[in-house]
Amino acid sequence: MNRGTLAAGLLVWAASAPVGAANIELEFMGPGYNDTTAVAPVGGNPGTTRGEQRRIATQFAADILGQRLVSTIDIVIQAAFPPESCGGGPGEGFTTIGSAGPTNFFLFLPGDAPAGVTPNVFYPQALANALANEDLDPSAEIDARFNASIDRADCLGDIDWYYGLDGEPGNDISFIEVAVHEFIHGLGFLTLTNLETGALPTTGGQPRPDVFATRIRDLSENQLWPALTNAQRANSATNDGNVVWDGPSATSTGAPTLSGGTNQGRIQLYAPDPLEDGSSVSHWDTALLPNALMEPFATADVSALGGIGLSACVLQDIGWQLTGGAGCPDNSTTTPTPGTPGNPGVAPASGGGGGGGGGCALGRPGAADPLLWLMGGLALIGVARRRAASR
Amino acid sequence: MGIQRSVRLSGQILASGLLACGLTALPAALAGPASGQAGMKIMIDPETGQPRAPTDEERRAMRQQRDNPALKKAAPEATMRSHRRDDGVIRLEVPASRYPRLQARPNGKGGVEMRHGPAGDAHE
Repeated sequence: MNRGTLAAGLLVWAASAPVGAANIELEFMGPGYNDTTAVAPVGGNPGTTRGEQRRIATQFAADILGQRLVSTIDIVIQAAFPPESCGGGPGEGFTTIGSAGPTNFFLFLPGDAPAGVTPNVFYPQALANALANEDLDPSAEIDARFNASIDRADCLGDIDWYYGLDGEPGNDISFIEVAVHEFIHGLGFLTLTNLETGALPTTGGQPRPDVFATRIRDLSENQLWPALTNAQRANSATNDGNVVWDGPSATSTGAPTLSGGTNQGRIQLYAPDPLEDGSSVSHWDTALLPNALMEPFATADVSALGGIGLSACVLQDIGWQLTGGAGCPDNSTTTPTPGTPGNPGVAPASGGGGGGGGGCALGRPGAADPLLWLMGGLALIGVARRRAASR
Repeated sequence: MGIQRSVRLSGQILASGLLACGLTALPAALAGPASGQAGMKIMIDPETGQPRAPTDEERRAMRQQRDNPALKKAAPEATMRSHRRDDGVIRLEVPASRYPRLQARPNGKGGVEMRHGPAGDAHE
């Protein structure tokens, strides 16, 4: 047997799939993901119906994150594309285009906390599963909703969702960017702290911080948020420029890459005065230079196709393990490719045409199917044997 | 850790032959009293009478129930509730109404102005 050939084949196999990469499954809910409106393939998205393009783009966005995070437990995202209301034209009301978050948080008591988990701190479900190496709850880890009405001409005028995978949305709204941003919130880039009152979540009458809040530092008080009183935290939420992310990864390797948006060597969080509900604290400061994916407002010069940047630092600081190809900041350009081996395509959602719709769990297209790899390995061995026999 | 699965059930699930029995839910909320305590419910197999994890089909049905707008209206959405499980792990349920929402409107120049809006508002 030609051991060199076999070894080379196995080396290729090992190098192709990020070790321990998380498998993100999508449950497509409702008719929005089964929209049969015929559309032309766009920007590398081969879908020929709007529903198919939505499914492919959503899976693509999920895979960008799955390739960078380690978890032995599948991360299930329940995604829906309902037709929500529209706000109006220029200068009129805003239209919600998407939202996402963790469905549950988990807190472990002292003595029962798995390795790497701080007791008495709330962890988002996907991260809690990864750290506990166990599926702690049968529910989906992340809920996500995107507004199907954006594709209607009477919603935002000529501006539609852009389902292309190439990062070239023009004047349209890049679905990939929005979905990756929202999914990162679902993975833990947010705090449950009540920013108006400063109150932490409570259980058994005791206030307990979420893991994101444990890394927020107020430089005026020179304290981490859990050490502050409610009133101090509420004040801190509007302490513009003086609220920073105090995590070892972001501070040591993330902050030095910035030419703006740091204070005392740490990266600033968004804390305008007055408070901006929905934006404050759970995003980077808009002062960051260069801009970052998790700033509260989309910027044209940021693309998740070039990596998730400083978001990877935060995810690492709250406990996520990054795959070998990812780092802090993450500028790796590895992206899933639709229609390649290991990517069987994206099947229609169930429940099309129905009100609530059903769910359809799908494997991660970019993920390495173990059976496929086994077959590939056997094929390599066969080739090696044939070559050896022919000599 | 020995984990006993806890699931949220609904009337339709009950009608389909599953038995739910309410257990204690810890009083918990974010900055305020929890209005209307939700009971933690354990799925009981109607044939064996024993607690068990739900099947994939049952999980799917429960998720559909969770998404039922009528049910969502019946429960106070902004309240987070925590539940202590048998293994001591505490689960904090986060209603979707608490998620930050990305919003957009035309900027009059052919593009859009985007921002994050308050949780719970479809539009303003």
